[in-house]
Parts: sequence; C-alpha cells; structure tokens
Amino acid sequence: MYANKILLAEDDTTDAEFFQRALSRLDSPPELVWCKSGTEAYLGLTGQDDASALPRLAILDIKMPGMNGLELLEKIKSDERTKNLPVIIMSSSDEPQDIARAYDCGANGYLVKPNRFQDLRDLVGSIHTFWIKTNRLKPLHD
Amino acid sequence: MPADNQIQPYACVVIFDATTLHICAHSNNLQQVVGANAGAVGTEEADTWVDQTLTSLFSPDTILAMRRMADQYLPPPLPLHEGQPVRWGNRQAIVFSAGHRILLEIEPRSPKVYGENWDLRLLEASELFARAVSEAEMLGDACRLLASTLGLDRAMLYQIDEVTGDGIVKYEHKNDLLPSLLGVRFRKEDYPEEAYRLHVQQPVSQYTVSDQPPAALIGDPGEAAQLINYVLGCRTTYTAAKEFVEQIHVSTQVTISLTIRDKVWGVFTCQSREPLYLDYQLRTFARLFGIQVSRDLSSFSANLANRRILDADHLRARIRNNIARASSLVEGFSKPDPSLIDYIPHTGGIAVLVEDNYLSLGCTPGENEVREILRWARQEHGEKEIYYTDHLEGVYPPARDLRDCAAGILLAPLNARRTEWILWLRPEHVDRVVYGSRDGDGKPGERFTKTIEVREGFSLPWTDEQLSSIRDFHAFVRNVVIERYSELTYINRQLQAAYNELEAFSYTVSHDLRAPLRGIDGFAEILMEEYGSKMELDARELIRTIQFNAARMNQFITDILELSRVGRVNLVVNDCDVAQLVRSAVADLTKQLGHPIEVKLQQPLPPLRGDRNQLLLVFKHLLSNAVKYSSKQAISTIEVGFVRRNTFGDGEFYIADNGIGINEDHHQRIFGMFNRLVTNDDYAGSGVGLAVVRRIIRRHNGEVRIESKPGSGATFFFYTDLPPVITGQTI
Repeated sequence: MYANKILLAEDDTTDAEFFQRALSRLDSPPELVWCKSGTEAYLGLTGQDDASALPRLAILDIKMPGMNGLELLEKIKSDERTKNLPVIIMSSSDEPQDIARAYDCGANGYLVKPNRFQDLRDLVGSIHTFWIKTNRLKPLHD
Repeated sequence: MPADNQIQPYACVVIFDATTLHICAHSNNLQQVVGANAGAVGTEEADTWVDQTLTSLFSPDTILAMRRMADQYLPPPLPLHEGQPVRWGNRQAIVFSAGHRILLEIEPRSPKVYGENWDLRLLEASELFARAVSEAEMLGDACRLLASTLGLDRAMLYQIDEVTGDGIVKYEHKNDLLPSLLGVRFRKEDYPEEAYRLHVQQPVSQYTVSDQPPAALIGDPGEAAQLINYVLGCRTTYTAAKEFVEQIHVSTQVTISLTIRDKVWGVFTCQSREPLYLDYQLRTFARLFGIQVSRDLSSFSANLANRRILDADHLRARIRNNIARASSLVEGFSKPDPSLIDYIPHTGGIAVLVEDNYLSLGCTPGENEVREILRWARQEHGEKEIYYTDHLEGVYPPARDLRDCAAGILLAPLNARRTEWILWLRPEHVDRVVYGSRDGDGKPGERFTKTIEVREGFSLPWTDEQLSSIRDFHAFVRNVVIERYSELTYINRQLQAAYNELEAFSYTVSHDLRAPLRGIDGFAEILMEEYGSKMELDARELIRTIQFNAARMNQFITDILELSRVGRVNLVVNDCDVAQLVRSAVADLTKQLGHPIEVKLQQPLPPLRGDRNQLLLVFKHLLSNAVKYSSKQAISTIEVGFVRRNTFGDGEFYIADNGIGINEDHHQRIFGMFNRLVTNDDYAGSGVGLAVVRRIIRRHNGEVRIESKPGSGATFFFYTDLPPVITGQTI
C-alpha cells in the first residue's frame, strides 16, 4: 500500500536535521523524504501516478520561501490524489490565530516546534506512534 | 387707552366734507368757544353745527386757505382772529386731510409763541449737545433747556429698560415747585403697550388736567375718526399717565419720546404745576428737539459701543493668543496677564472643568459646589449652547449660600458630551430700588406712591453684548479643542502605525530567533549524547552552560511574544466576576507550580470591567509574583480585595503579599521589561510579568501601582476605566 515514508517540508536545515535524528532513534524508523520548499514537496507528491508511493504522513513547516506550508496544505487537500494524506503543520508559532488558520486549511494536526531537542524526540515518538503505527491499521481510502 | 373720539377740552375739532363743505362732526365744546349757534332754528339745535355749511364758522378766505392746506404736507397753522363769522378769539386751526374729509384742530395760541425764536433755541441746543463729552452731560443739558424754554417746572429723562420694561428717571432738571424724582423706577404697567405705540407715532404729547370733562364728537367723523387719537395735539392720554399726573399734583405733562432705530429708548417727561398748553409751534419745536437728541444719542452710543468693542477686542485677542499658544487649555486659561476674568466686565470668578482638570480663577465656590452646579445644569439645561441667569438661587435653591460669588452664572459646555465646561460667575449686586409706583394691587389713588425694594440675590445682568462676546469666546475655545484633538488623533494614528510595525517586528523576530536557538540547544544536546562519554567533565559543563543560556534566551523570546500579544488582541469587554478570575488564576498557577497556593479573597467584590482573558493574565502574573516573593516566608499570605476611593464607587483592586517587599526607588522600574530586581538564580520566568500587567491595565484605560516597603510585603493596586459598553463589545 503506502510506503513506510514521512514527507517533511522544511526549509530550515537545522530543524530538518533534528527531525531526521529524532526519527532515526525510533525502532524501525520510517524513511524521511525531506523537501526544502513547498513547491518541491508538491511536485514530489503529485508527480507520480503510483498511489502506493505516497508517504503515510506529511509534516509541513509554515514559513517557507515560495509556496508556504498553508498553501501547500490547501493544494494537498484539494487534490483528489492526495486529499486523504494526513498532514501535520509544524511551526514555532503558538499564536491561536495561526493554529486556527491551519485547521481551517484542512490540517489534521498542529504541533508547536519544541524548543529543546529532548522534547522534539518525545514529540516525534508520539507522531510515529499515533500517525504511523495506529493509522496503519485503518484503510486510508474512503 | 384714550377714549374714542374724545379730546382734551381746551381745544375743539371740526370735521367737514372736502367737496360739499358741509360740517360732518365737531367736538361738543364748540358752543363754549364761539357762543350759541346763531344760524340754528330753535333752542335745541343751538349747540350743534352738524350738516350746516362751513361758512357759518369761517370766512370764505379762510375756507379757501383750508382747502389748499389740506393738500399740503405739514401745512402751517392758520390764525383765526380776524374776519370770521364767529368769535374765535386768539385761536389757530391746524388742517389735516383724511380722504374726503378735512379735520380741523382749533387751539389757543400760546402767548410764548410771540416772544421766542424757536429755530435759534434749537440751534442753541444743537451746539450745546455737540460740545457735550458724555451722554450724561448731553441729557442733563437737554433737561435744563427743555424746562427753561417751555416754561416747565420739571423736565426728566425717563429711560426704559429694554429687558424688563421698567423705566428709571436717569436725568432731571427742576425748580423748587416740584420734588425730585431722580433715580426713581417705574413699573412696566405705568408704560403700557398703548403708550409705546403712541410714542412711536406721535413723539410729542401733552396732557393738561382740566375741570371740564373731555370733549366728545357730535355727528359722524367718518374717515377722520382714526386720526383723532394720533395726530391731534389735544388728544387725550392713556389712563396710567392721567392717574400719574393727578396723583403727583401737577396740571400739565409734556412728553417727548426718543427713538433709536425705531425703538423707544426713553422719554422726556416734563411737568408743570400750572396748566400749560403747547400750541402747534411749540409742539413742533419739541418734536425737533426730540429728533436732535435722539440722533446725538445714537451717535454717542455708537461711538461708545465702538470704543468698548475695540478695547474688548484687543483684550480678547490677547487672551486668545495666550490660550492658543499654551501647551494645554488649562495652562492657557490660567495665564494672568490679562486674566480670563477680564474678558467680561463684572466677572467675579471663573471655574473651568476641562481635560479632567478643575481650575478656578477669582472668587468661586468650592470645587464640590461647582461640580454640583454643573451636574444640575447638565440635567436641566444640558441641551443649551449657553445658559445664564442673574439670579441663580431663583432656579437652584442651594445657590442661596453662594451669593457672594455665584449670584449669577453663565455656563457653556466645551464638548458634545457635556463633560467639559466653563462657568462664569458674578457676585451678588445688592440694589436698593425706589419705585415711583406700586404693583398693580395698590389701592386706587395710591398707585403713584413711593415704595422701596431691595433686590437681593441678584448679580448684574448679562447684557446682549456680553453674551455675544462669550459666545465668540466659546466658539474659539471649541475650535482650539477640536484643533488640538485632531492634531492628537493624527499623532495617535502615527503612533499606532509605528507601534503596529514594532509589534509585527517583534513577532517576526521572536519567531525567527527561535530557529537558530533550537539549533544551539539541539546540537549541544546531540554533542552531549554522542560524544559526552568521550569528553572531560569540564567540557560537559561547558555544553550544559550553552544549553542553559539557550534556555534563558528562549524564555526572553517567550516573554517578548507574550507582551506583544497583549498589545495585539482585541478586547472583548464584559463586567467580570473577580472571584472567578482569581480562582481560575489560582488553578492555573497550582498546575504550573506543582503545589497548592492559598489566596484570601475579600467578599463580596465589585465586578471588574474588561476582557476576561486579559484580566485573567493580570491576576495570574500578580498572583504568581506574590507567590514568588512570599515563598520564603514561614507562612505566605496573599490577599485579593477592593478599596473604595470615592463616593461614586470608584476604587482599586489590590493583591497583597507578605513577601520581601520592594524598595521605593524601584517602584517604577518593576513595571518595565526585564527589570528583575533579584539575581539570575531566582529567575522564574517573570521578567516581563509586570510589564504585561501594566500593558493590559493601560489598554483598559486603567493604571497599576505598587505600595511596598522592603521587608513588609507588597501590595499591587489597579483599576480599569472603560465606559459602560454593551456587554461583549469589542474595542
């Protein structure tokens, strides 16, 4: 079905590297597909016909040059091929209006980027448990 | 009101048809003057000439002259002493035309006529007036000239008060035969509407007491009837004048009215003990005399008014200049040279309530009394542009005790909400008024006896000129206020724009700062995990220090963000239950601190108006502050309550602790950003807490302050001051 992959759209190399490192500490970690911009991520998701090549989860940063996280989210959610892909917005903002906007655009979750590496590791662990392991049991199609 | 178709008995009237020359009517005293009617058949008709031809009374030459004169404007009098069919004696006829009728007023000629050159007397008066330096001098001269020229015992100038209708004897010239009436006031009833009308139409009138009844008309006067009460010198006068003449025991009264711009300004009222008749020539002189005085008077008053206006304008310009250049209205109002008090003559004091400041100049009641007057005025006269009275206690009884400074007031609001005012105050002006007549209820025959009234509790009245200059002043002040206000809103807008920019900047910067910070902390952590075991202890310590500082910086960013958020959110205003706010804050803090905290809550507490979430933050920060600084006490006591500060229910909420307290030098500093007064080790994430509190409270138009001494705890007081709004309104 779906590849054991997570897509990460993140322009900040440091944040991406932390995410990668936090992920790699998990048991049987999924493969991380890192896109450095919204456009790159969108092309990656829609550029292949094989639905089974889609990742299990997309994690998007909001602030990115070019297509930002929320625009990318809207595109994913309005595209037949990708609309069922779970998308988590990850941002350093904890402003209520930012969070509300993300959910308005169709996000499946909103996570505030932890400020400490330790916390990030815990969070990535939870994401993995909830979105990858748990969701694997249910069909993603309608 | 003079009786219809009646004349004074010293003269007689004949009315005839202009075409047929038949007599239509005549006064019933004609027989007394010329003897029985010789042409009438039988004794019953011996006293009437009605329907007879005019030739039975006048010669053909005289009749011809009368017909010619009827077509002239202001014809000269026609002497009747020679060649007439009847004996007219030393009489003259004045001819008036009334359509098809001709009216003859036949009067005795005054013996004075022969000896005087009236034009020269008039020239004398005119020159005298031209030399007069004041209105008083001119009118005094006029009284003297009138009395001496016309042979009267007393000549006075009676000036009519435009507002009350009362009159006062302002100038007088008299001989020893009659007492002085100078300064005596007469009531409005003594100078009725009818008299006023008569004086406008016929400026000169005379009335002589006679033992004869007034003469009535026999026959049909036709169109001539309407002339009788207005054009004839022998017309009767109105009742009040007759009563007056009789009761002051004089025989003759002559009045000459002075009109300025078609209004009766005053009346020369002259009396004589002995009966006196002014014939047509004398009446004409009197009339010219009146016109001369009226003209000089009006130019006098115009000059005077001009000079006064110029002086006042100059003064006002200086005062306005002071106000316009002052940094605030209050400062402008309180400048001494020239003082605002000089703006309007007879101002005793001024009270100003403007921009939340109370200012009093000169003699004013206490601030509380002034505020009470303003409250009353706002209720009773709030819609008026300007309100004034010279007798405040008449409408506002508490002012009875304020006579010495506020017997009269004039007040005008400076803003639309009626919260800013200027109040002009005048002290009592006790006036002893001698009335020459009683109120209408006096017994008959006693009306014109003197009464003395003392007017108490009145100030000098506000004149039209003063009112209009006060109106000018208020318009000016309002303009200044509006100008200042618009300037202020402009500055405010610019400030707001700069502020918004700064908010946006701090928001972005804070977020952008976080990414590299995460990098520092993260890589330090990874370094520690992967290489820690290979490092010496000292190196591991250094890595921990890096992480500690990253955490501090992270806290700074969190704080800046919180502070900037306070400035950005919209306030949803409600009356909030303080006990509930405190309980929520305590619950949050308990969770955060991991141990229970105890807060004593005063009950009941008034509601606190503001945004619930923001006010919750206020309580959280203040309580957390209290907990933090009292944590080292054996028993930490924290109390939340309210103190009333005035009778309107305004007051402050407070949060008191028994902690270490704060030195007074630092009381202002603590509300700044990152101004901790304790060492880093005690840092517990609230370097910005009080700044947040102050920002929130100020957004609620309130203020927060601290009372504290080192070692004896600290109490934070605060209040909000938002207008009553519809619940839930967003501002």
